[in-house]
Amino acid sequence: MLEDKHLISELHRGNRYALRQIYIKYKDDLLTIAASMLHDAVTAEDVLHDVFVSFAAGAGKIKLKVNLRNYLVVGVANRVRDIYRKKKHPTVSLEQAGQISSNSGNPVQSAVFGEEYRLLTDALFQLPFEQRETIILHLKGGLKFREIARIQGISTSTVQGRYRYGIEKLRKILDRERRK
Amino acid sequence: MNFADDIERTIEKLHISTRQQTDDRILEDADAALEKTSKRRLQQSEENIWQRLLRNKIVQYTAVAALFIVISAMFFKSLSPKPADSSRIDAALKKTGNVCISKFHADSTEPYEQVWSSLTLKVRLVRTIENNRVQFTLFDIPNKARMLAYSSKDSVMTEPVNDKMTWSSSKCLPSLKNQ
Repeated sequence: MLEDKHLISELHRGNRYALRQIYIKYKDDLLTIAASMLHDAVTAEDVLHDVFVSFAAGAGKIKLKVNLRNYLVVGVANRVRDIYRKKKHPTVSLEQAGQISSNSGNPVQSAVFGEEYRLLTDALFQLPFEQRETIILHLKGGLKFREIARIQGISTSTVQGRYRYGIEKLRKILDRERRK
Repeated sequence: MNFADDIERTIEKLHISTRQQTDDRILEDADAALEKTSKRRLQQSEENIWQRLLRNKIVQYTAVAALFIVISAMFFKSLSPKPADSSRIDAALKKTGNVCISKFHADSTEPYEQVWSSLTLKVRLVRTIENNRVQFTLFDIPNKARMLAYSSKDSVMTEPVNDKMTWSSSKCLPSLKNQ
C-alpha cells in the first residue's frame, strides 16, 4: 500500500518507471480477471491495454480512495461490462488462449493448472454474466460485496445472493463434468 | 484433483500471464499516453500560474493603479496646451481666405458690427448698427467702389473709393489691397 502510494506520487510527476512498476505488479491479476470474465484471451488483452493506457492518460487526476489494485480491478470490470453492453466481443473459445501460459514455473504443475483453468473457465462461462462477474471480482479481484454492489448498481444483499447461487451452480457444473 | 469441492480456493489461485509482445504494446502506448498527459499538465500549470497571479488581489490593485497612472498621464498630456508659436499663427492666417469678424458690446449678444472679408472675391462687407439703423457697406476692391445700403431703404448708393479714404473698421483693408 505504501509502495503503491509512492508509485502513484511518482506517476503524478510523469515517471515512466513508476508506470512500468505498476504494470508489472498487476498485469497478470488483471489479465486473469478479464480473461475469466470474458472467456476470451484476445479481448482480455485488449481490456488490459485499454485500462492501462487510460490509467496512464489520467495519471495526473488519479486520487485513490481505495488501494491501487482495487482501482485497477474496478477499471477492468467496467471495461468488461462496456464490452458486454455493446455486445461487440467475439466469444472465442479459450482453446485459442494457448499462448497464455500459467505462471507456476513448474511444467507438470503448469499442465495440471492449465487443465483446471480450462475446466473452471468453461464452467464459469456457463454462468450468467452477473454471477460470473460477482464471483471473479470477489475471489480473484479481492473486492468486497459492497464494492461489487456499487459497480453493479444493486444492493449488497443481491450481490451476496448472486455469489451464493453462482458458486452453487458452478459446483454442480463441475461435478457433472467430473462424472463424464 | 477434485477442485469442485473447493471452488473458491481454486478461483483465487487462477493465474495467467501476459505475453511479451502484449507487454511491449501496452507499455509503449501507456508511455505515450503518460507523456502526452505530462505535457498537457505542464501547460496547464503554466496557465494556472498566470491565473493565480491574476487572481491575486495585490496584483489586481497594482495593475489597476498602473492603468490609472497611464490613463491620467495621457489625459493631462492631451490637456496641456502647446506653447503659442507666432510663426504657426502666421502660417495659419496665410491659409485663411474668408473671414467673418463680429464685435459685441460687453452686455449684449447682438453684434454691433460684423465684417466679412473675402480674399478670393476681393470684397469686404461691413454691417453696422447706428441709432437702431442697420447699414451695409460693400467695398469692391478691384473696382475701387463702395456701395452703401440701409435696411430701412430700398436704394443703394455707390461711390468711388480713393486710396486716401479712411474707413472705420477697416484695419485689415490694406492687406486686401495688397493682394
